[in-house]
Amino acid sequence: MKARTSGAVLGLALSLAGARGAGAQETTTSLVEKVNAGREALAADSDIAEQEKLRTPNSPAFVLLGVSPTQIERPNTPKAVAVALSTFVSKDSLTVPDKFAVEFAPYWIFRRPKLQVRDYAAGGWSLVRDLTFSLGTAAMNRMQTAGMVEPIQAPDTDLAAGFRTHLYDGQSRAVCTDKMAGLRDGLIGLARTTSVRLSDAETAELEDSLIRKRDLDAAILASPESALTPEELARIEAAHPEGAARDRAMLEARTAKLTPGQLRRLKKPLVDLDALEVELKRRKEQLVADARDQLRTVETLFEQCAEASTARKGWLWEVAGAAAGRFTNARFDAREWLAWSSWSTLSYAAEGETFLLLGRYHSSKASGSWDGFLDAGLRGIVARKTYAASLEGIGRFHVVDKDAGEKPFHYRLAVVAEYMVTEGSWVSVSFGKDFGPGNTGALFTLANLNWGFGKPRVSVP
Amino acid sequence: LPKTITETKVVNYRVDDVASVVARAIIGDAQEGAWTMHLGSRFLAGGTNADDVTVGPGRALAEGSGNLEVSAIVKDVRPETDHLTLTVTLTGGMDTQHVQITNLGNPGDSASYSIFVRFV
Repeated sequence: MKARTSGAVLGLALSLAGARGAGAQETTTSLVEKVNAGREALAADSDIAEQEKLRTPNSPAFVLLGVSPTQIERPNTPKAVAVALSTFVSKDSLTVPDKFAVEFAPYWIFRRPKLQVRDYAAGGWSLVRDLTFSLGTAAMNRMQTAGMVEPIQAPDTDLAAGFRTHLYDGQSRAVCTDKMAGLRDGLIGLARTTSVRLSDAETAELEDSLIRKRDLDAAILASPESALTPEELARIEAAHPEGAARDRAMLEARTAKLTPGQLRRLKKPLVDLDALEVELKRRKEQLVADARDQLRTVETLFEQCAEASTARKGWLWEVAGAAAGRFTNARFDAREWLAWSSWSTLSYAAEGETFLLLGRYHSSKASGSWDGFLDAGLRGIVARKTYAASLEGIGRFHVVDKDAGEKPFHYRLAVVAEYMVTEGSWVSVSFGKDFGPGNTGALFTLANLNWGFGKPRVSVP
Repeated sequence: LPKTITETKVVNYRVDDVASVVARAIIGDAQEGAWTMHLGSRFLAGGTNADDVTVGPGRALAEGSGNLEVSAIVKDVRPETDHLTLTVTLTGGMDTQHVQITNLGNPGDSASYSIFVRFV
């Protein structure tokens, strides 16, 4: 998890060795910019390029494209996914939209009515459940000169697709109803309060009002339990020779033969269920409106639980991959591969300590040939209430298309130590070595004072 | 702002006169919440985990006026989904029956559901 520094920041960036690596550019910078530049060199929780960070990215496709979309569409139903992907279809042909960013989890776009929170929270092997796909595009304008009198602008679009999942998630999640005192009872109490709870007499009165009399009469007359004996029948016919009066007497006699239970059983299927549902919903909505104070109490407990449940403990094994291609004039049939990457991280989080092991391969195409880098990194964090420290190192092996004479191995090393001077004010000291040609990459040192509202930059993810 | 979705459903369940009806409530989609069951105005059980609750013998239920009311409060706590689902499974009657209320909320929303089961 990323810890952001807020509040007043007083920083002093000392570039001991400067940016000596190839491609380093001298710029005029303010103190703040220097601080920011120094931070970018830090490996721990800094704003270095996503591709360089020692972690598996959340959205591999966007990392590979090198974009940070301000708005990522996250459809959560099959229909919403279909609508999002429909932008790839234009007039019955496939096209590549620009500025497209979508991310979705196939497992979760369908309802999971049987998945209970405790089964989910227990973690374990979760390849399918935690799988997410990311898909993004970025418009790239390039000047096309071949065969042209005047160079023209060719609208290319880069598209990347990626996935990310947890092969194993042993970091059990908090179940708030177990964790927060009073929440379970509060929820059960709320469910009770908002139950309509009609008594038997109220139910009978309500349902009887929703039965058509002629349907009930017909059901009573058809019921075998209400059948009259030949003697009872003869008695009625003798007493009521006329049709309407005889029918009424017959119905009364048959109704009288039924027990209350048998009569109730005859009535039940005759109730207008739609009308009953409307009436019960009306009563329930009133109960929910009356229970708003109870609802607010429960909401508050959930909020407190969310704040207290950010840290997770245990093993986590993440994998991710992404590939990117370029589409000329946004046409699907005019494409070429640009790059692909894969990540795998294994981490263990304990109370105040985190260790992370990363393996990463990145391959990209430049000037018609493929380049390939293999990274292996290790990071350790110790965080306590008043101090924190982080050590991180990444080794990079240039395994494909290395220049003649180029050393195949580079590394980055960063150490960050922090101390809380007063509540919310942290002093941090960082130093290390960035990637660079051979073993003489850019050295950096940074001292920071985060005054007032600061949070530690080194924190257990 | 989080809202509370309210929904009710009424169903008939065909009993077996000589068997007991058992009901089970499940709050799905890995969301948090709690359920209660009432037979008429009488409280039977409540909880957060799925649990079997014996409602009563089929004949007595069919001949009585009281309906089974399964109520639930479901809270959208999952970033992965906004589905809010209550499923009630009824067994011990002529068939096993699954009754479900589901809605697609927004992050942080709650749902207050009641499923009324009429024994016929």
